[in-house]
Amino acid sequence: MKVDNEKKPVLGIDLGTTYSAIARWTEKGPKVYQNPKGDYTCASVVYYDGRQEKPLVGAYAAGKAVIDPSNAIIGVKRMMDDADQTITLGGKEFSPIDISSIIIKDVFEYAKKTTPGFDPAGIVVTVPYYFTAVQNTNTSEAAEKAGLNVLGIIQEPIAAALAYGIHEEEALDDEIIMVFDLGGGTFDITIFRFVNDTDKLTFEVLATGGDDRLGGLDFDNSMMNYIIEKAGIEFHGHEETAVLKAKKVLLEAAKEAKETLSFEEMTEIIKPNVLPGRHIELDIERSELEECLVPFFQKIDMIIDDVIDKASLSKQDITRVIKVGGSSRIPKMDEMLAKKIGDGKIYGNIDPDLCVAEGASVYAAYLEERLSWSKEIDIKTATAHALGIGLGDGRFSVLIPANRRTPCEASRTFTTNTDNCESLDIDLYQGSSKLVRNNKKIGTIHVGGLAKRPAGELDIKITFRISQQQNVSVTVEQKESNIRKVENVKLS
Amino acid sequence: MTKEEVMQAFEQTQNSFKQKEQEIASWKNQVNLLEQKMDGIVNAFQAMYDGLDLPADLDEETENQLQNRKDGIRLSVKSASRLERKWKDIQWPEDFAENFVTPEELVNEIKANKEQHSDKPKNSEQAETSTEQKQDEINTEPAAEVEKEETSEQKNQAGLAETERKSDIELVQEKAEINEKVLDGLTDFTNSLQKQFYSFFEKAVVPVIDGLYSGKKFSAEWISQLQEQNNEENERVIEWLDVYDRFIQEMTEFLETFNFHLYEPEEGALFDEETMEPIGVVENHEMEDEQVAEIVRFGLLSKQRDKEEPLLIRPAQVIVVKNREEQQEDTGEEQPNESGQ
Repeated sequence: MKVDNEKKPVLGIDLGTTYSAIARWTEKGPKVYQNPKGDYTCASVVYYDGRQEKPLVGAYAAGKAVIDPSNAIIGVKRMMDDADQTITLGGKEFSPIDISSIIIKDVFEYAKKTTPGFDPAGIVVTVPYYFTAVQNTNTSEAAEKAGLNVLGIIQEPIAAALAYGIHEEEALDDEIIMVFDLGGGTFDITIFRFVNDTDKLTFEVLATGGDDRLGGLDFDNSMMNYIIEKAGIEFHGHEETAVLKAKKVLLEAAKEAKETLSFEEMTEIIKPNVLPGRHIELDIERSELEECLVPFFQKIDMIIDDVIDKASLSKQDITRVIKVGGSSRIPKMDEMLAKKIGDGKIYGNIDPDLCVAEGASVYAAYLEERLSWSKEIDIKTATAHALGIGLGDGRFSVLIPANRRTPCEASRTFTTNTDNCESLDIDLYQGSSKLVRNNKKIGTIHVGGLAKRPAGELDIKITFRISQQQNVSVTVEQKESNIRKVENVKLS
Repeated sequence: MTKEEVMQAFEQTQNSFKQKEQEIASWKNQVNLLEQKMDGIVNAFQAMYDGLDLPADLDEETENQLQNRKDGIRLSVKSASRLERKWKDIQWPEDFAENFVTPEELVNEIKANKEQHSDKPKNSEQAETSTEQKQDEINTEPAAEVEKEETSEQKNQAGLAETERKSDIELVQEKAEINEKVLDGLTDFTNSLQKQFYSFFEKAVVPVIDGLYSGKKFSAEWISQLQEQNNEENERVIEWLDVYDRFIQEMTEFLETFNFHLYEPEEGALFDEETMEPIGVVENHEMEDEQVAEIVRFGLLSKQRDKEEPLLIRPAQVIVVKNREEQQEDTGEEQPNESGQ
C-alpha cells in the first residue's frame, strides 16, 4: 500500500546537547525540516520566567538566557541520567524529561506547520551511544510526553551510518566503520563492524569513546584569543560594555575565519572600530588556525587511538570514516585522519550537521516498513555498563555484564538473609565496581507479602531484560508466595 | 491513482513549471542587478574615500584622531571592495527545459509509442491485446481527459500487454513523474539561491555598515565634547565626522534596491527576543530590567513581495539592562542551569 510520506511521515529527531533537528523519510531519501527562520537546526535551550504562555525554545530562549540565565536551561541532555532532578524556571519545577519533551515538542511543531493535515505515523529519537538504559528510557519518555508515537530510539553513530548507508548501500562491502563526531561541545568516536549481506545490513558496535567537553566552541575561543594576540588588542582601561562588544565582534570574526579557512588557504579579518580608535586588519593563514588547535588535535588523536585499542583493532583495520558534526569540516581533521587511518577512507558526502536526524528517519522508515529495500537492519548494540542488584553486604551482583549485546536477558536466583522476612527492597544498580556504593543506583523494587521462611530458604528469581530499544525491565518471582512482579527500570 | 488524477498531476506540473520559469527569470534579473550595483557601490565608496581630505590647520591631537577615524573608514571601503569576491557565481540550471515534458511532447511520445508497436508483426495473441488496448487509450490532444474507467478484466489484459508497450496512462504518469523531478530540482535551486542571497547581504554587505556604525557611535561622544567648546575648528571637525552618515546612507540605498531594510530599535525599548539578540547585560538604575540600554548593531529585514510582514534576516544586537537584586550582590554572577555547574 502506498503511504503518504508527507502528511503521514515517519520522523527522526536528533536531540542534541547544543542543537536539535528533525527529518522525515521520503521516497527520495531523508529530508530535514527547516524552522520558521529557515534554519535546519534549533538550539537545545529552554527559557521560562512565568510570563510566557509556554516555555521559549531555540534561538529566542538562547537570547533570553543571556539576560536572565537563572530561568534558562542549556544542555539538559547531560542531565538525562537522573529524572528526579529539579530544574526551576520561572518558579515552576521541571524534570529533565519535561525539558527534553519541550524541545522535542518544539521541533515537532515547526515540522507540523509545514504540512496541512500533518499526522505522523511515529518517530525515532537519537541518543549518544554511551547513554545508559535509564538515559534511553528517559529520552523515550520525553518523546512520549510530547505526545508522539515513539517507534524506537537509535544511537547517534548508528543513525549517521544509516544516513550514509542509504546513499551508498549498493556500493558497500563488509567494513569496519569509524564514526567521527565532532560537534559544538562534544566529541564522540564509535567503531562498528558493518556487514552487507543479501538479506541483512548488520551494525555491530565494537568500541566507543570521546570527550563530552571538547568541540567547536573551544576552537572558536582559541582562535579568538589568537586574533587578540596577533592584533595586539588590549582591553585594559576600556569600559565594560566596550569590552563586551569587542569580544562579541572578535568571536564572530574567529568563527568566520575558521569557516573560511576550511576551504581557503588564507583569509582577511577587517574590523574597523573594534574598540574606540582601534581597528583590526589582519591576514590569517590556515596554518595559523591549525597551530591554534594543536592541543585539541592532540587530545582527539589520543582518543582515537584509545578507541581503536578498545576495539582490539589496528588503525589499518578501519576501512571507512564517517564525519559527523560541523567542526569535523576543518581540513586538518581530514589530514589527521588520513595520516592515522589511511588515504581515501574519509567519507564526506553527507551533511555532518544533519546526518544524525536523517539517519533516525531512515530507521523510522525501516521500522514502519517504508524502505524500498527489503533488507533487515540488525543493530547489535552492547550494554555500556553492567546491570545488577545490591546484596545485603554491599556487594554488586552483576546480572548483565558490560558490552553484552542487546536485546538480552539474564536471570539469577537469590535468597533472603534474615528469618521470616516478609518484605524487602531490591536495589538495582549499574556500574563497574564490585561495591554498590561506587555504582549508580537506577531503581528499587519493593516486594511485599513474602511467605515466612528461615533465612536462605526462600528462592527469589530476578530477571533483567534489555530490549532492542534499550529499555530495561526487571521481573521478580517468588513461587511459594505466588509473587510475580515486573517493573520497567526508573530512577528511584 | 485514477486516470483523472494522473492527468491532473501532469497538468499541474505544467502550471508549476511556468511559475518556476518566472521565478528563475526574476532571480536572474535580481542577480544581474546585484552584479551591476555591486560595482556601483564599490566605486562610490572609493570615490567618497578619495575625496575625503582632513580639514586643514588642525592641532596635532585632533588631526591624529581624525586620521584614526579616516583609517577606520579606509577599512570599511576595503570591506566593500571585497563584496564581489564574496559573491559566489551562480551556476544557472541550463538543461531543465530540455528534460521537462510539454503536452506537445507527450502527445508525440504517445503517438510514437503506438506507431512503434503497430509496425511490429503481431502474432494472434498480441493482435488481440492491441485491440483491447484501444479501450485504454487517451485522446492525444494536450491535457485531454481519459474517457473510460477500466474494468478489472480489461486491467488484467492491459497488464499482459505491458511487455509490448506502455499504456497511454502509464506513459502520462511516467512523464508527470519526470516533470516532478525537474520541478524538485528547480525548487532546490531557488531555495539555495535565496539562502545565498540572504546570506550575502547578512554576512558580507551589512558588516560594512557595522564598522561604520560603531565608528559613528565612538565619534558621537567626541562630537558632544566639541560642541561644548564652540569654535570654528571644532565645527569643521564635526562637519567632517558627518562622513559616517554619508557612507551609511549610500549603503542603505544599495540595500533598499534589493528590498532589504535596516532595523534599529529605540534605546529604552523593551527587549524583544524575536527581533533582538542580547550580547550582555548592564546595570542602569535609571532604567527598568529588560529595557534596551544600547544598540550594538542594526538588524536586517527583507520586505517580501507577497507578504505583509517583513522577514527578519538578522536580529539587532543589543545590550540590555539587568539591575542586580540585593540578595544577588553577594553571590556574584548568575549562571544558566547547566549540567556540570
